[in-house]
Amino acid sequence: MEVYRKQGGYAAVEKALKTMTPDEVLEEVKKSGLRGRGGAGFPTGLKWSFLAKPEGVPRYLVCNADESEPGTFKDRDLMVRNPHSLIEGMIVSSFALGANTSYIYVRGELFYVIRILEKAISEAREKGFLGKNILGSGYDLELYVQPGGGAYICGEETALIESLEGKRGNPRIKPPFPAVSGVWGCPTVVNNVETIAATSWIVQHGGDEYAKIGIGRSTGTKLISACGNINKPGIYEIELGLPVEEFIYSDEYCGGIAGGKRLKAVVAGGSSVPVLPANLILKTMAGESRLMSYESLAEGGFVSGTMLGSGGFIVMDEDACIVRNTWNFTRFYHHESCGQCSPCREGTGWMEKVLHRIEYGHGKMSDIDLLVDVAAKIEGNTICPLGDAAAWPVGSAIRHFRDEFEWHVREPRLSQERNYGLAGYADPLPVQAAEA
Amino acid sequence: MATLFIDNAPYQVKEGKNLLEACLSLGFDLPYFCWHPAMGSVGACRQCAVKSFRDEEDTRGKLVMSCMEPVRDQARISIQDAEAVGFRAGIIEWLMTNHPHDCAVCDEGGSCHLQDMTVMTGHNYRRFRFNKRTYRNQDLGPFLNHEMNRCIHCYRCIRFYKDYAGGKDLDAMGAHNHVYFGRSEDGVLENEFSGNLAEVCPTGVFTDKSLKQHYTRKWDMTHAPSLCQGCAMGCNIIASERYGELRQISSRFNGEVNGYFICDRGRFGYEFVNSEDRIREIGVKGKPEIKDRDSLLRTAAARIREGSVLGIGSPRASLESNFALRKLVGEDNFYHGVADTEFDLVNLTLRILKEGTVRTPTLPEIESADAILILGEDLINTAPRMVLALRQAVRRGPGEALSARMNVPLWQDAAIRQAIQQDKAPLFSITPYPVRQDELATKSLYESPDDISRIGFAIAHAIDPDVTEIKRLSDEERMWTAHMAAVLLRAERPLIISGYGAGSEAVIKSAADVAWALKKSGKDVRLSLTVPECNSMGLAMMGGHRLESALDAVAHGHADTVIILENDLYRRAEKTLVDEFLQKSRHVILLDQVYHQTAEEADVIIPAGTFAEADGTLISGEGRAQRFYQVFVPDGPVQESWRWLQQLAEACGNRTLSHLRILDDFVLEIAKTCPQFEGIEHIAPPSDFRIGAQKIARQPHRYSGRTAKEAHIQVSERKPPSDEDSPLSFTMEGYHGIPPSAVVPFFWAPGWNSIQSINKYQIEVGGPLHDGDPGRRLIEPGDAHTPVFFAEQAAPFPIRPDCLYLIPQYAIFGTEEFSVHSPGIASRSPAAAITVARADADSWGLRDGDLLEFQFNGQEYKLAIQTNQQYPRGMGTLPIGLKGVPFMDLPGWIRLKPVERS
Amino acid sequence: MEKLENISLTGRKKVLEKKPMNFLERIYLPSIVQGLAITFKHLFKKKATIQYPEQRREFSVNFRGIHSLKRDEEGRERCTACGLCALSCPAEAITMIADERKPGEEHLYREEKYAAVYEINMLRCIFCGFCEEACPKQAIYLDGDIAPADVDRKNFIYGKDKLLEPLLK
Repeated sequence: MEVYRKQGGYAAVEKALKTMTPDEVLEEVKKSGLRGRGGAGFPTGLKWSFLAKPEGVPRYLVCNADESEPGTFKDRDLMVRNPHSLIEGMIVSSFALGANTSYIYVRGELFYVIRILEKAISEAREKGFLGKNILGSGYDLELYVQPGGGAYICGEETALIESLEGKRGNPRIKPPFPAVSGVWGCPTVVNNVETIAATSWIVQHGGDEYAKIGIGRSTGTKLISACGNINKPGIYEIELGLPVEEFIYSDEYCGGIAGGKRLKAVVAGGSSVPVLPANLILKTMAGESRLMSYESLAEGGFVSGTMLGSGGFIVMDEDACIVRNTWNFTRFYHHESCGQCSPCREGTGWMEKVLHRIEYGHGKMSDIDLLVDVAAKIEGNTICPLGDAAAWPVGSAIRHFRDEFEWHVREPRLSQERNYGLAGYADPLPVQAAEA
Repeated sequence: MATLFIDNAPYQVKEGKNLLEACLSLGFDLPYFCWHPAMGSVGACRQCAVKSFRDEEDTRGKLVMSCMEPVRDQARISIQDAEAVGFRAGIIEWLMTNHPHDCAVCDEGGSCHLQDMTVMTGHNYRRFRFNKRTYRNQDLGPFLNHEMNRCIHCYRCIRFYKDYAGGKDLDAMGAHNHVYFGRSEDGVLENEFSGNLAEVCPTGVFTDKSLKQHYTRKWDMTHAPSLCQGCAMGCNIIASERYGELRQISSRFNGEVNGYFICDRGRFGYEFVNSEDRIREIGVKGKPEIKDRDSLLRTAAARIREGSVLGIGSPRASLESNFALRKLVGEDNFYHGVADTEFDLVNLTLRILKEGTVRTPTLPEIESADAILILGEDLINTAPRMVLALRQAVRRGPGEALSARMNVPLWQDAAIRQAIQQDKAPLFSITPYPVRQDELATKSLYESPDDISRIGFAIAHAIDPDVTEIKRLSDEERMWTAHMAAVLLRAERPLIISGYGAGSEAVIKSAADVAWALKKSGKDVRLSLTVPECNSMGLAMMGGHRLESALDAVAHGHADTVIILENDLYRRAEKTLVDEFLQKSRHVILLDQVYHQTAEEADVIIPAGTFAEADGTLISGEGRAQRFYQVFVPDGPVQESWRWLQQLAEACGNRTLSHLRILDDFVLEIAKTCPQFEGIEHIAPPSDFRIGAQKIARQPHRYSGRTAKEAHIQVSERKPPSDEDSPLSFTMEGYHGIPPSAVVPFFWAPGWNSIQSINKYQIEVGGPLHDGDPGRRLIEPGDAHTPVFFAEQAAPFPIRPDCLYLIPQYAIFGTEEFSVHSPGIASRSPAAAITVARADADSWGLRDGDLLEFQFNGQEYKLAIQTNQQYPRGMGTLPIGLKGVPFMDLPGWIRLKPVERS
Repeated sequence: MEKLENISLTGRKKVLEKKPMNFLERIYLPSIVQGLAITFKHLFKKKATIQYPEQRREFSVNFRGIHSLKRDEEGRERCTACGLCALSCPAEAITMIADERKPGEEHLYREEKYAAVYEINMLRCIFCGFCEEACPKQAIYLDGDIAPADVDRKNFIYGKDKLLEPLLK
C-alpha cells in the first residue's frame, strides 16, 4: 500500500472524487478509446454510457477476474503484484458509474489472490478510500471480493452475474443486457481486471494522453501472456501496434522459438480465437505485416485473420500437432460448456469425440466434414460466446491445416508415431527470422 | 395487428407475441422444446430457428430463434429456408446423439413431443458413432418415474417445477452434456403439482408412474372429456380407459379454469375407479339371488312404496343425479348429505355470491390480480390449483412494471424472472396456522378464526366506514389492518379469497365485506370463496334441507325409508348419530361407487357409475357449470345414478321422471324447472350433435386390437356400446378433427401426437380453445347496488383453560374421500393427529406423539398430538376425513381430560 | 350389315352375330368325345394334389405362417410390448397387456417392459406380415406353419402359450 502510494497510487481517486463529476470521468474514458481487455474489445466508454439509470434502482460494477481462458494468465499477475491498481480502478469506475456496491468476481481456484485482494481492500478502507463518504466527497462505495466456483463459463458476463447471485452459472439471453438488468436485476457493468486498472491511469493522465499510445482505434497498452514453444514465456505489456514478428522474435519479448525450431502456428488471443498458420500470422493476405492490434489481427476476417482476444498468445512450433491441440481445446470447451443451449452442449461433446477419434487414428475422411458441419452450426447460434469460442478453433484448424487432419486419417499408424511437422503446406513459411 | 412475411407471404398477426407463437397460431409446424405457452421463452434449445431478413433486398438473412424475437410489423422471416431447415435438423441430430433409442420401451412413445419434432425436422440418419452418456435414475416417489438417459436438456422441468410451481427439490446439476435434472438424493418430489412434469417434459424423463402400473399407449386408450372430482375447482381433465380400467388422467386445457396444469390429487387420485372396493354388483340384504337390474328395481320400488321415504343428496354426485333424487322423493324430503356446518358455510357462500356485488374470478383473473388478501384459507389443501395461479399473480405485477421499464416483453421468461428477483405483488395471508401460500405472502399472520374475521371486518371498515367498526384490536392488528386496507385500495384488481377452510361463517362474511367495500370504492375486485366438493355449489343451488333434519325426521318417525345418493354418512355426521339414524330407518337404499361404512349398514346397494362411467354436470366453486362425459361402459349393472333413480321412479309408479330418458332430457328439465340453472343446456352440444353426420370418436383412429382384446371373453365380437347421452361415440368411428371445446376427448393433430397438440385446438397459441373455453358461469352478481354489509362483532378469541378450539384441517393428499384409494396418494397422507401450539402442549405436559384425551359433543376421543410453534394459543387443528380420524362436526370447543402428570 | 359409323361413333363397338349351328355341332357328340379325351389323358399324368396332411409341400422362403414371439441368444423374451404390431395390424387382431420387469426377472425379459399378455385373434389375422415389419425389437416373425384347423372358435385366440418360442435348453 505504502509503496503504491509513493508511486503516485490513489492519486486518480483523489482527482476523480474531488475535482471531477462522474460524467467527466466517463468522458475521459470515452476519449481514451479504451477497449475491453477481456476478449471482445468493446469500447469501455460506450459500454458505460449504455448503463441504464432508472430512478431509485442501485447500479453495480462487477470486475471480471474469472480469468480462465487457456493461454491467458495476465489478470492473475496483475492482481497478485499490484492489487491496488485494480482497487483504485474500481473506485474510479464505480464513481463514474454511480455504483455504491461493487464486486470483484475472482476465479475460485485463485484463493491466494482472493486473500491478497481482501488484504488490499482492508488497507484501502483503513486509508479511507472505501466505505462511507470517501475522502469527504460524499460518495460511498463498498467493494466485495466474490470467489467463483471455477467454471470457465462464469467468465461470461451474464453467467458471472448469475453465479454472483448465487445461482447456477448459466449465461443469460441478451437482451436485456446487464446494463439494463444485471446483478439483482439492477443495471450492471462488467469489466475485465485490466480494463478497470487502466481507468485509473486514464483519469490521472487524461483520456487524450491514453489515446496517444497505441495505433488507430487500438489505443493504450495491453498485457499479453505469451506461452507455448518460445524462449521467454511470460507476461508482456506492449503498446498496441507492435508487429507480431517483432513480438515473437525480439529478445525484449518472446525471444524467438524455443530450440531454434520453426514457427508453425499461433493462437493469438487465447484458446478461443481462430488459429493461424505462421505465414498468415506474420503477414496478412495483402502482404502487410501484422501488428498486435485489434484491427490488424482481425484483418481478413475469419478466412485469414484472427482476434486479439484476451491476449493469450500461444505459439506452436513445427513439432506441435494441430489435431491434438484442437482436440485439447475442444475437450476443454466441452467440459466447460454450461449445458444450457443445445448446440454447445451436444455439439462440443460430439466434436471432442470425433477429434479424439481422429487423433488416435480411428478417424474417417467424412469425420472432417462432419466437424466442419457441426462447428458451422454451433457458430453464432448459441446463447453466449462459448459456442463460438469452441467452434472457431475447430473451424480454423481445419481451414488452415486440413492436410494434417487428412494425414491423421490416412496414416493412422504413422500419426501415432511421429508428427506431421510442416510437411504438406503449399506455401513454405517465412521462418527466416528464427534462423537469424 | 402487424404484417409478418413468412416465406414471402404476408400474414396478419398480433403484435407483442413472439415469432414462434405467431407461426404456430398461423398453423405452421415449427419445432420447439424449451418454450411453453404458459411458461414463456428462454431460448435454450435453439430448435425453433428461422431465417430473419432485414428487408426485401436482404437475401442472406440471419438465423434467429423465433421464440426470442418479438413480432415486428413488416418483418420478413423464412421457415423453409434451407439453412434454417438444416439447422433445425442439426439440433435434433445433436439432441439425438445422447437420446436412447428406446421408444419401444418408453412410456412416452406415441405421445412424445420429441418423436413428433424429430419426424417434423426430418432427421433420420445417425452420424454419431459413439457411446451415449448414461445417468443413474432416482426414485421420485409414487407419482413420477425418472429416466434421465432420455433427457434432452430443454430445462422445462425445472422451469415448471422451480420457477412456475415453486418447488424446491428439483434442480439442474452438473455441466456440459452431463447436466442432471433431479433431486439431491432419492425421495418424493414434494411439490403438489409435480405430476405436470409428465406433460411438461417433452420426452420420457418424467412419466406417470400410475400409468406405468397398467401401461397403455395413448393411441390405444378410449378418452373422454371429464372433470376432476377432487375439489371444487372444476379442473378439466381427460380420462382414459382400456380393458375396462381407467388408466390415466391428463390435463385438459381450459383457459378459464385450469389452463395447462392440474394438481397431483387430480392426476393421481383416480385409482378408486379400478379399486377392489368398488361397488360393482347389486346387493340386497337377505336376498343374494337378486343380481339383475329388473328384479332389483322391483324389490327396491316395493320398499320405497311401503313407507315414507326421504332422500339424501350428495355434493359429489352430479346435478342430474341430485335432481333425479329430489324428484323421486319430492322436494320436501330432499336433504343434503353434508355436515351441518358445511351446509351453512356453503349456503352462506352462495348467498354472498348471488346477492353480493362482487363476482368470482376465473383463472386468468386470479393470475392478473395485483393485490391479494386471503382470509382463513389453507389453499393448497382446499383449492390446490388456485395456489399455482396465485404464484403467477404475485410475479405478474412486478413483471409488468419491469417489462415496461426494460422494454422486454413478458414472455421473455428468463429475463423477466431475473429482473424480478424476489419482488412480489402484495399478498396477505391470514390463516389459523402456517400454510403453503405463506411462501408467496408479503405478510402472513396466524390467528384463530374469530380473530381472522375481526381483522377482515377491520380491513373492510378501514376501506369503507359503513362497515361496523371492530373494537379492541391489538396495536399490531391495527397496524396491519391499516396497511392491508391501504394496499388493497392502491390496487386496481384486488382479489379476496376465503372459504370453508377455517370453518367459520364470520371469516367468509368478513371477506365479503372487504370485497364489497372495495367494489364500492370503484375497484375491479374479485371474491373467491372455496367450497368443499366438486358439486357442493350445485347442490347448494338446488336447495334442500340440512342433514340434521333428516336425522330428526327418522328419529321422530316421519320417515322410515332412506335413499342415500353417493354418500358416506359417517363422513357427514358423528358416528353415534348416524348409527342411530340407520338403525331406525326401516330400509336404507344406497347408490354409490365405493364400499364404505354406510354401505355396511345399507339394505340395498345399487352400483353407481363413477365419473368415468357416467355423464353429468357439475358446478364448480366459481359457479361454472361444466359437463363430464362417460369414458367407457362398464361390465355389469353399473350405471349413472340419475339413470338408476329414473328407473326406480318408474318402477315405483312415480311419473315425475318418466318423460326423462337420456342426459339431455334431464339437463333440459333442470334448466326449465330450476331458473338458477338456466343455461346449463348450452354448456355442451346436445346428444344429437353431429359433424358431417358423425359422432365424435372417443378412440384415436389408430386404436388397436379391436378384434382381439375381448376375444378371450367372447370370440364373436360384441356390438360396440352406443352412447345415446352424448355426441361422442365409444369407438374409433367418427369425427377426428377439432370438435366443439366441451367435447374434446383428447388432443391430437396430424404430426402432433403429444399433449402439445393443444396448440392446434386454440384460436391462438396459449389462448382460448376454438369456440371458447368450455363451461358457463351461472352465478353473476346483481347490478351494482349498494351492498348490505354484514355487521358482526365477534369478540376476540378467548383462550379457555382445559378447552381447545378445534378447527378442521384439510390435506391435499389424504382427506378427500376417493383419492386416498390411490396407493400413491395414500402414502402421502399426513399423520392422524391434532396439531396444537407448542406452548399449549407444554402447559399440558404433552409432547409430540402423546395421546390427547378429550370430549366433544358428549363423545370421548383419544388422538395423538403434534406441536407447532407457530400455532396461535388455545386452538388446534384436526385433519377431518383422514383415515383413522373420527368425524366431528368442527369447528368447536373440545374439553380436555385432565392429564395425569407423572 | 349396317355401316360402322351408324353403330358407334367411336368405331370400337363390335357386333357379334349368332351363327346357326351346323349338324355336327347340334348333336354335341364330337365335343363330348373331345372333352372326355382330355379327362382320360389326366389319368396318366402326374397328380397335381398331394395327400395333406400326411404329405406336405415345401414353403417358399417368404411364406408367412403362424406368428412366433422370439427370444434372444440368452433365452429372454424380446417383446417389449411397445404396441407397434397392434398399431400396424390392419385386422386389429393383436392385443397385449404390458407389464414392468421386476428385479430378478432380468433373465426372462430382455427389456424393462414386457408383454404379460399377448394375444392374436387368428380368425381375424390375414397374415399380411405388417406386425413383423413394424417390430422394432425383432420379436415377432411369421415363420411358423399354417394355422391348424379347429372346431372351436375360442381356440383361435393365440396367447403367449402358443406364440412364444420354446426355450432351447
